[in-house]
Amino acid sequence: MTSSNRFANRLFLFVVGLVTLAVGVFLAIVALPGGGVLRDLLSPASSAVDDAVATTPIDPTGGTGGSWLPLALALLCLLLVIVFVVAIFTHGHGRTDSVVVHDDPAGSIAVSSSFADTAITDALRARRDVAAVGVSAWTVTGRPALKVRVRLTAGSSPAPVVAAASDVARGLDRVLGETVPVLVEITGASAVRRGADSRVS
Amino acid sequence: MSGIDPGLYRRVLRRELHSSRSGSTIVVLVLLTLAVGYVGVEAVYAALGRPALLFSPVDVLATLTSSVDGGGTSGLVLGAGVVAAIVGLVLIGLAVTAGRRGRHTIDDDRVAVVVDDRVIASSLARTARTSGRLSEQQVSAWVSRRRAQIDLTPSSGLAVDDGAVEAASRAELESVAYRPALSARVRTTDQGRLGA
Repeated sequence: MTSSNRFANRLFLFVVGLVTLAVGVFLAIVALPGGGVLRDLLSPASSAVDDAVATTPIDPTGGTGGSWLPLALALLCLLLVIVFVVAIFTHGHGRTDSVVVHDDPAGSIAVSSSFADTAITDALRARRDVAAVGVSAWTVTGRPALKVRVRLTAGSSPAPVVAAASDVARGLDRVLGETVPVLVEITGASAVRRGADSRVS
Repeated sequence: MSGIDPGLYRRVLRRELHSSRSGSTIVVLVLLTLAVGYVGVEAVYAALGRPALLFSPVDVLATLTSSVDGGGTSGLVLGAGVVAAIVGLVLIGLAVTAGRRGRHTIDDDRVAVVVDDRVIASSLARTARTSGRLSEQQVSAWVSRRRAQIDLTPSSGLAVDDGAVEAASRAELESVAYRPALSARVRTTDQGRLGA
């Protein structure tokens, strides 16, 4: 339920993939004996780079120092590195601390997500088919929503747990006076619940 | 009664059923950061007129030209090109494929539900075990997007009541409205196992 921009992820992967594919195909064609046309492009391009480096001195009066192009390239690389690092850290956000926020003239009321956590966990943990419950609150399209992760014991059917979680969510609605979107994620079925008789399954 | 916009649940479920591609994106971003950072370091070396560490970004093209100028096939350049092309194809594949996460949803009028396929397979395996009176090692099950497959291994010399298993698994699947809907298939292996 993170707020990561999925379209941007796919667009980024597509563009990087396309560029990598183009470079790879270019290299492969140039390396093969048949790549005459592309190979002819190489030496003009390479001499164009040499010309550009020769005609862009740092000191126009002809003093010391080479071209400013490598410096510009270094700055561009630094900029790109900063952009990439920022892009890495934009992933995975979206958690929130409160499930309900009420703004009244007298003040603002916020119900902490740990309240919902305790209520839902206590209601579901006692069930025989539930091995573990975890609750987290996320902001989805600007509003708080709850994610309830339920790990079932091996072999349990998910349907009764879903019905129970639905009832718990309705109970929470009555307590909070507001319907909070709830996602129930049913996973697991790894170990049998600790303390329970493992042969009755 | 529930005042929840159905569009919100549709969005949440769509996002839960498909990969966000964040993992691949972060891996690519980290690799790009390293590569671009290295090119930057080389560019600083070139700007200062120092000898390059591995290659100078200024004469990459000249090096490439001289390495393929012989007229024959340059194995190194060809290999690099093929590897880059394959990596590019994989990235394009990641970008355009759906990236389904092996989960199903169950309709409920209050909560949005996603269930791991492993949970469904495990519950079907238990249904098969109890209805066919089999032991844990004799049943294995897997679930794909639209199919559930249950494999039974009979004990040598004993027949397996696969009709009962099939009926029980059907009933189990029908009692829960999984989406996309699942159809069960029971298969009994030809060879039994001693002591199973």
